[in-house]
Amino acid sequence: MTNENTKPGLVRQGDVLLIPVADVPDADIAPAKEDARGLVLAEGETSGHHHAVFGRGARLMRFRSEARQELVVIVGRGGAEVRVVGGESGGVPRHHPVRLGPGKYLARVQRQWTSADEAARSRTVND
Amino acid sequence: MAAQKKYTLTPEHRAQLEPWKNRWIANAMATSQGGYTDAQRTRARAAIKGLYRAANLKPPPDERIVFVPSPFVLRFAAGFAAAIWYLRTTGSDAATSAATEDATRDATYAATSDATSAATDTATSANDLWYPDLSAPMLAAAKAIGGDHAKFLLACAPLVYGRAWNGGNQWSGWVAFLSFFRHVAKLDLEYEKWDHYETLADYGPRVLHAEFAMISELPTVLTVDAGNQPHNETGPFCAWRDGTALYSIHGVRVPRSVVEHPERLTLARIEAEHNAEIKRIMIDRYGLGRYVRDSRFEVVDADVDPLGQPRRLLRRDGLTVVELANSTEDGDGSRRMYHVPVEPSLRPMHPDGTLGEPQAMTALNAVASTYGLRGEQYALELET
Repeated sequence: MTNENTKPGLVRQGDVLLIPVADVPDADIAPAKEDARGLVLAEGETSGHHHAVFGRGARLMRFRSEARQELVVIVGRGGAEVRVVGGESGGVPRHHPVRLGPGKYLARVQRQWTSADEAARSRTVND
Repeated sequence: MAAQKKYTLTPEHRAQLEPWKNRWIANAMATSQGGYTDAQRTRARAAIKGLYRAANLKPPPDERIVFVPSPFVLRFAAGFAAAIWYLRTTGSDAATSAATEDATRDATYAATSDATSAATDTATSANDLWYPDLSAPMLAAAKAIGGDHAKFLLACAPLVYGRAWNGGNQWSGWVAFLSFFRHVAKLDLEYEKWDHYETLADYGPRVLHAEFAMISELPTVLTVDAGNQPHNETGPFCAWRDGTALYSIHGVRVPRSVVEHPERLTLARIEAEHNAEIKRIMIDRYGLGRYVRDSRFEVVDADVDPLGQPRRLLRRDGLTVVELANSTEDGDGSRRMYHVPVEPSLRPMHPDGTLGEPQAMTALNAVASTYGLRGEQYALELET
């Protein structure tokens, strides 16, 4: 369903999957909503943690189509790191940081099936 | 004769659609802690009388415009009162306890009082029912009021709901539409009669009868999720001052204990639930991981991902689940296990809510489907 050409080498941090893509048309995306905490990819609803991107020049974009619930991470030449903030267990983060090279990535949150009836529905995972 | 177009949406009016929508959604979601004030009641009575006059009907006197604590009471009290009025009008058995009362006013008052008491008693008792089951206390109330006609009184409750009910602020959508043309588009129409209806949209549901009118109070609690679906994971999503309450998780009505006492859920109770939506919520409240452990799931497929983590595809009844281990160990060295429900034929769940084509029943395809991908696209390089 995506128009972007995906590349091999998926990176997964908990329920967030980062999919490298060759490009995303500029017309399809716009800057993501600003968040005082930084470039937040996803929230963990049950433990208060969130996944965020850290890196000079990194940018977070959303799709103009509101139905499409995923973000685009644009990583500059210096690379970036995705970290889990909060929700530590015994002082250990829920998920170790992951390093991203320069390029564009789709940040997609895991979905779960929510309905057994004909009205097919899924929603993002609340971990 | 060809219809004459009287109005075209202008850019200025279009800009008002969003705030107008939000205003009326807020109206539909309105709550009140203390019930209507005297001023509010006076305004409502005037609007009620205006509605009757607009329909060329004689309005009921003030004492027969009655405010009741909840829509539950409204339904029964109005049904009882309508039944009693009918029995009297048709000259049927007058030897009922209510009918021996002096004034006709008492028929309405007795119905309201008894229905309110019954609803309150039921709602405040430790029942655990799908919805406030008022059948037993309302039968008692109907017997007290109607004697041998108790069943007739009860039968009138659903008839009132079907024929004489107006949702008041619960039906804000219609009022939002029509009032837009009055206040924003300012169409040159006569709104004098409509004004009463618009006024009463500030109040709860109502029943209008030839002899009386009843208006419900607004709820004290009303909570929804981000999609405006009725939702509260810790208490009623909607409650009224008389204690009647409704429970819902993301729009699915559930028994009270599922919300307030999930620790009381048992495997047997979950298995006995026939409604798939409620069963899904029960499993969620029970804990999917615990449910998988406690019940016998069929292992459809099992493998180890390229980074060494085990994963299994499990199935039981209508529930298909992929079991995954967290790649990062917890502080105590253990690994958390995650159980994610998947579409039963492993159709990829795309981020826009659409589904892909079915896949072979493998653990790889299952986990890929949770990210909107097919198994062959899920080439994992790193996971933490």
